[in-house]
Amino acid sequence: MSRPGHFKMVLLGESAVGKSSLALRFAKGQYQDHAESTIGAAFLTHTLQIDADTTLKVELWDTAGQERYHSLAPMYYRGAQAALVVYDITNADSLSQAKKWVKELRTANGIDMIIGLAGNKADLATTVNKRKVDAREVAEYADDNQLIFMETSAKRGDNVSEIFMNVARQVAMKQPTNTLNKPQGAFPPTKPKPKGNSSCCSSSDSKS
Amino acid sequence: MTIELVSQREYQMFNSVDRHHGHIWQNIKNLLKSCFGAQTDECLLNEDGSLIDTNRLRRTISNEQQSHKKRHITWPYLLNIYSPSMTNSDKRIYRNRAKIRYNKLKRAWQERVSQGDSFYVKLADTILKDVRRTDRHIKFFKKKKQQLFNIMMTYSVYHPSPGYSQGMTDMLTPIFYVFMSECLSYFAFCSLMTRYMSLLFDRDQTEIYRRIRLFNSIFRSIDNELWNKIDFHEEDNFYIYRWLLLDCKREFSQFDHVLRVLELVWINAMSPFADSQSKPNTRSLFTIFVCISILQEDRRIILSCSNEEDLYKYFFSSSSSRSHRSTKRILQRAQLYYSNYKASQK
Repeated sequence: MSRPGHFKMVLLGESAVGKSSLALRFAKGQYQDHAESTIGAAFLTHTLQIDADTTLKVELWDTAGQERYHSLAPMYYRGAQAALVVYDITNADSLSQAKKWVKELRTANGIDMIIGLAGNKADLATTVNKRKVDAREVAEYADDNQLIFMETSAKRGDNVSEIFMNVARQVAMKQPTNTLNKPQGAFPPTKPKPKGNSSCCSSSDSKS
Repeated sequence: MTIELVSQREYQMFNSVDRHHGHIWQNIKNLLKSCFGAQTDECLLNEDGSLIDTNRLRRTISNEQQSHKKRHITWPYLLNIYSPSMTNSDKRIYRNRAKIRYNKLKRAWQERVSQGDSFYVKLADTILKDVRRTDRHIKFFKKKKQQLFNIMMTYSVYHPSPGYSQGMTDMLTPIFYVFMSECLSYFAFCSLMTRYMSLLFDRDQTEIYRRIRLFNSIFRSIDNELWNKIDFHEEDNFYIYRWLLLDCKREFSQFDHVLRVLELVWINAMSPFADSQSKPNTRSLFTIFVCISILQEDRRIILSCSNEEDLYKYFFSSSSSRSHRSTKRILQRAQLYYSNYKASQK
């Protein structure tokens, strides 16, 4: 008998590294050149057959990449069992940003969270030599931090379902499916606090 | 019994006159149009190029048939590029000065980029990536990336607060589409940001949170059934974040509908046209009514969602699947809510 379950997963990484494109390739098998930037967040689901008797539905939250929207991210990664942190192999800065995300996730969600690291736009390394990030170095870093690392191409579809599948397998191994069946709790669990002076918000417009 | 008003012979004569003296009839038609034209095609400017009056401008923008033909005239006033008293020669002088000023601003950062200043290079890279993927399905923008990039870069460099924020290019494309001039679009965009939008893009997010809370309380009082259905038990209702940040720009699939939505939002939000300029909160009201109206348009879809996941999919899917909505109905309802609100304030 099939044992269905589901888990919450979040996509993080610098702006324009291909988070939404990976999500679209994974959930719908499609690719769009110059897809519009994500404002706020996007939500997609896709069900994976882990083995003969386990299916897992991935509930994927795709986030906005720009640094100034960073404060919204905790809403989406809190309570998530897995994350895919994405960088662009043609942009060295995006790897530094990815490492910051990994650190933040480990601090917030602990070592139990399954984290994948995707070096996206791998197609650009072979067609036009634009590579700025060496895969071996990243692989070492990934080993040290217990990350599932792969270079991917959302455009060609390389390694996209593979990296999601590897993450999902580890989620399934780590947690028995019956816990994956439990409701995940309300979204989002807590709100991030605006940094500004809260006294400027009049009480009349707050939710009553 | 039928009464023959004009005899057959006379009718034929009349027709032959019409054929032979077509130009005379055309002149008479033009004369009639100029006498009674006010009802169908209102003239906005005096002979010297100054605005006849702001109420007439407001009426033109409110009237859908007229507004789309006259955006090149109305938007410079709407976005405060021209003041009502400016004559044609004032406008010419303004355009020349604006061009000189804009080119000076642009050259300054272009030099820094060519020198390889890392701050400027990185900013340019970010903006270029976003310009490439904004409204790329509109043919007009295919060859306009450089201009859009220049405007966005100039704005971001000279306005460190709020600085460049994703979503700004969404607000720039409609302006550039109407103005078609890099320099005027720059000043129109600055004006939109300064008078109305920059707070929404602020790093501290205070204004957008305020907008979301205001939306929530109004939505709850207008349509409790729908509000209850959507309530995700989340304090800040983030499902509406994109809608409120970009004045619903991404919630309409056709670009000319987007232009219509924005001009109605702006005329109700910005001085000298807005009725209630003093309270910043009331500036968001029209946008909030548009949001509620869209939700009501999609009432059946929303009510048929059987769980939170379906609702998430409705709110957090990419914005390309909006073609089923009737923009006309949505805006009519929003305008009705807005005028009811204004009446209740009197």
